[in-house]
Amino acid sequence: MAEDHRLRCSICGNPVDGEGEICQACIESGRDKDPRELSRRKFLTGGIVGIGALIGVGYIGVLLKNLYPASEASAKYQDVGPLSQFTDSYQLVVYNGEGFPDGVYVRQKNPGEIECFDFHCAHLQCPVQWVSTLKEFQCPCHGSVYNQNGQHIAGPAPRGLYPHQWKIEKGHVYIGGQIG
Amino acid sequence: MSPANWLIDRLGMRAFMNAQLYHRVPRRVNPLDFLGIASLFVFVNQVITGIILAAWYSPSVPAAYQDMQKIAHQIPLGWLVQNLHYWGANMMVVLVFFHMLRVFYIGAYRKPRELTWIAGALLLAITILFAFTGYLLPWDQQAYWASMVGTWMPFYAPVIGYFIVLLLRGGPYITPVTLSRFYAIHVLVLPALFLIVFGLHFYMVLTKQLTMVEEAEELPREKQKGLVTFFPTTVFQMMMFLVIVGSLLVFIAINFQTPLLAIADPLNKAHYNPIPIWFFYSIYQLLKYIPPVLDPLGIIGLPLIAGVALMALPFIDRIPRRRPSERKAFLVPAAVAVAGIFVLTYIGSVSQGIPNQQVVANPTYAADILPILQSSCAQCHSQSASQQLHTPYLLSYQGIMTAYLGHSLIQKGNATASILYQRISTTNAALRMPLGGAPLSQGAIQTIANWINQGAKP
Repeated sequence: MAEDHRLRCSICGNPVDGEGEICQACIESGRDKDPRELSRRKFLTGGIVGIGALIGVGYIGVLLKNLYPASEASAKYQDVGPLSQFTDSYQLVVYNGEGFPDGVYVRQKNPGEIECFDFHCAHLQCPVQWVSTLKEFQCPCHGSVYNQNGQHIAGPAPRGLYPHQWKIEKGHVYIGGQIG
Repeated sequence: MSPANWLIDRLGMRAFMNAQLYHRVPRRVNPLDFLGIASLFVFVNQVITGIILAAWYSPSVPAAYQDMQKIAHQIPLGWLVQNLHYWGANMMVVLVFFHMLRVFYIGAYRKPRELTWIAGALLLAITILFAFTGYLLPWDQQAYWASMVGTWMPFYAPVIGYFIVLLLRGGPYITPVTLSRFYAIHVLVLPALFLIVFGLHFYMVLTKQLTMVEEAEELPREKQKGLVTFFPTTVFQMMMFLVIVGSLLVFIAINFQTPLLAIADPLNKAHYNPIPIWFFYSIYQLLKYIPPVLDPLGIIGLPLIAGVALMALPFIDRIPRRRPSERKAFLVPAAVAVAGIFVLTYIGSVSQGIPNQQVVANPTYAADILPILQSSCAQCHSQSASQQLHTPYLLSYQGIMTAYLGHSLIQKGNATASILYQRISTTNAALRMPLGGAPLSQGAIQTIANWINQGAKP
């Protein structure tokens, strides 16, 4: 059976001879200028684009919701040792709240008051070092320096170190997720 | 009818193949015109070696690191496959870059080849993303910390910056979750994207003809006699070029092992000093020169502007001239930009300290010496590192003035008699500090000498 490769009229579907999308019969009967026909075609075109976009947006929504991590503030608290262990100079403790080790500097600022900072520099996330004699945090990468309250005092970092949540229960220090 | 002819016939591509294979081109061809096919060749190398590596590699912790060692030391020819993939990745970044430079130089991006050029620019971006995501997969210290810094860069984009960081990392920092994500992007997302964009690129190359064909057709009739057909003459020349590129790749892969440091330590107990991937050296170095408030511009703005400028180039440059001397308005700025990238990359590769250290005439420890020590010596001479590694502690005035194993580091008023100065200024690489690294800049060394000679003021 020979196949008919001619273009089809986009209104009535009959084969079109020569150029164009609309057949001679439809043009002669004025159907191509009929406002109802025009609005019908507009509606269907809009439907095709709209439904396609909706499906796409749905997938993107699922992707973002699925891959975007849960809020850090809701991360679980973790016991990092008895309060008596912490002096007013920082110690690096291991925080496993995210299921993978992270370094957190912890000190007892005043009796019963904890101060703690994540050890990633606020500039480009290199690990900062606490220098107790200078009472400063120093970053080896681009030389950012923070004071003992985590405030940025030198170098390119745009802000201070990121604090973590903390609480004291039954004489033990608990470290939680990072803030800000 | 031969099988090849039968296939071409059934596909209905007879006319197309004739037009592609048997058009007339000059006999002598610049090998630089083969950089595109060389990039494709290395990409195929990446696909083949990548599939083999994927069969042995598991993107989890600590298996990823152990698999790297196993591939390098236990699996037959694993070392070769690994090295071919590693060096192939580096080579591909270089080849794509120079391919682009060549196309730019001869102005082959202009009408009607705008889409060829735009697809090519996208392929450069995809190539860099391939290298960037692949860099984390060995899960050693270098991979971990370079990726930590690299994935933080989007942070400096306005509004959506931190959102992108979290989406990339799957958490606030780099964890095994990030490793899985980068693996999925590296072996699923990017190959699919690459093939789509490469399909467009190659289609445009085929349909819009090469500029060398155009040039051949413009030749006066008497000169047309020296022309040859693209197939097999030019294709054979291409194969010769690929043999050279392939030999170079194999030579490097046989002689240079893929670097693998200690397994990634998220607590960085050994005080590893992070360094970026080499094709980020230029940005890394630039960040040292510009004031910190301009960091967002250097990290996000410049690459963005460069990308947009590349895409827009064929629509801006509409001068129908092909001779370089007539296109100075485009070639000169591009040459400046490329020279800048080269110089910054070079400086970034040899220096880890503060660049262009000015010589300070009357230095004090706190204001002038400590910053130099922090940027270049902290890795081994911070307080914690000095305790672990049993090295002198240099990052405080007290520390540097304290005798180490009975020897004073500083002889006040006499730099040449001071151990500190001797160790940073010696030409003996086995003794020179920073050990195993690039020497301090002359400005930094002179500043330290001035400081000691004037009594080492605190």
